[in-house]
Amino acid sequence: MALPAIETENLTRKYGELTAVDRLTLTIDPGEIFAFLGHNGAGKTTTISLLTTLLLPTTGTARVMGFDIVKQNLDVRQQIGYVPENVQLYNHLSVAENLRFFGDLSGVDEISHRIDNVLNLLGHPEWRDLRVGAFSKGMRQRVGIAQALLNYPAVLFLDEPASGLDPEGQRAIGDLIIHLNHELGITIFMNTHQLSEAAKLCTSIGIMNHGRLVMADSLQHVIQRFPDTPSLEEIYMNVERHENGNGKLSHVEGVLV
Amino acid sequence: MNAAMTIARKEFQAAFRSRIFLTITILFLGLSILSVYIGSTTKRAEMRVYNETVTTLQAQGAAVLPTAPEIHTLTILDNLIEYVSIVGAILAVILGYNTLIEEKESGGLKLILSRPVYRDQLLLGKLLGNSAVIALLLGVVFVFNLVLLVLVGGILPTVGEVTRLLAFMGMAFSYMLIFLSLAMFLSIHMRDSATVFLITLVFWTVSTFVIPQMADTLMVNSSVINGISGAVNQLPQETALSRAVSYLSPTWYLRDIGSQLLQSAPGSGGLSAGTLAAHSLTTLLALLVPSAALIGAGFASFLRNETLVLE
Repeated sequence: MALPAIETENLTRKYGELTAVDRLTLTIDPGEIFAFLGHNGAGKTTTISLLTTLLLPTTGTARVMGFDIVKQNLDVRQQIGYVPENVQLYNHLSVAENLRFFGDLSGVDEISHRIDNVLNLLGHPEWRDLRVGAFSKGMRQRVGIAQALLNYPAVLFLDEPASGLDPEGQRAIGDLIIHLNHELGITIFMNTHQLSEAAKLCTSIGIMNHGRLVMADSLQHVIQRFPDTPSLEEIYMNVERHENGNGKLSHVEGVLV
Repeated sequence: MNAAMTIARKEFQAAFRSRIFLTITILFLGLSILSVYIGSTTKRAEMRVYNETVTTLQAQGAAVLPTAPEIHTLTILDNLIEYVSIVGAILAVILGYNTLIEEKESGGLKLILSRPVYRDQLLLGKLLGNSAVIALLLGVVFVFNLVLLVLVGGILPTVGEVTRLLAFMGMAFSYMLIFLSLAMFLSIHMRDSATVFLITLVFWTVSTFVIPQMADTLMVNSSVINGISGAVNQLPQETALSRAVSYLSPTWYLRDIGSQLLQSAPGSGGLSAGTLAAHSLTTLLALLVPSAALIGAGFASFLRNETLVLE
């Protein structure tokens, strides 16, 4: 049996008195597109920060591609790509110079060749020598994904990848995510608010509420469990209402708390 | 390539693509031309007046002629001391104040630290890159001034004079490093680049203007009788307190050693190499200690506080 791409056990992160992530236990298999859903402040970004080794957990453990996020953090970083919500590249550098910088930091060999590869993958080899300063948010987001792909990661973490993009930009990012997953076999972990995006792209979802994981399962199972609920959006709203004490979901299999 | 060197290279590139930095660099070089031109013109005028006086006195049959004015080549460049203490310090502040805040604000720091990069490599890279910019700039100013001495001043400096100028550039580097490391230290702890810029500028103003002014105020006036005219002149003289206050200012150290290395202080032209080297070494230590403390404290807090990355 293949190692899980991501495995967490009672992963907890506190900021003083505030518990941002509370005993998160989760397994994501290789090749999945996992969408992490939840309201603002639910703990989604903190979870990504923990899994990308930007933050240390207060308690609990997590492994990415078999590597411990605390004890083997550099190994984890070799295995992952990360695209934050607002990708900020260096405006005074060209796309190729930006990519070379991040590739060099990862110790990538034959960097020029890889830059060509990832730009071809984006479908924009002509961007190579353009200054990033003149790029729109959607273009930056795609270059951000390109920088995350330079080390040919096994797992790609995306924090709100389509946030603030126009419909065309959202579609382009969605197509790219599917391509990366289907063609290259990259496991995708993404935080998103956009439930239509999650329903379209993902193979499994997790719902966070106030730092706790309240549901995690394959998208297919989730939809089967709510036969009377027409959309993922409705399911999400039901789970949120239940969490806030206004709903009755205890009979539904897979609701964790 | 080592991650620190990759970051250093990026910082280096960024500096030379910054309009503000390039503008101030050009101003620095422009002031150097002006300085050498004015300095050499003044010295030539002094010699001309002296020669005319001697010719006149000789024509009048004077038996005793005035001694020639003591003109050292490097005094032509002594304006460099002020340029470094003002323009150089501001350049260092500009290099340092945005070092981490810009990337903290934009999220670029997260991108870097999600790579196989240690936090100390990140800070070291930034320090090395910006220090290399300062070193290169001072190297250009050094060569530029030597060339100007020959072309504008018509003077070929001796090996000793070149060594003194080189030593001054070393002091200038250590001086500018204080402002760079202060700005970097504040940049680690603060959230707003404008506040870092302002605090660093206040420190520079206090160091360059307020403390030396306080030290001057604490000097005592000693009376000196002019033997020829009989007039009594009041000359300020250092006290233990005024000197102690001066020691608080990095700018004072730069001016003190600069005036000796560039021979503009009275009697500094005749200082032995040993005396000058000992004084230079002491000053170098005094300038490097604050930078080392700020850099050490910056590394310690950046390594200890992981949430700085996510602010």
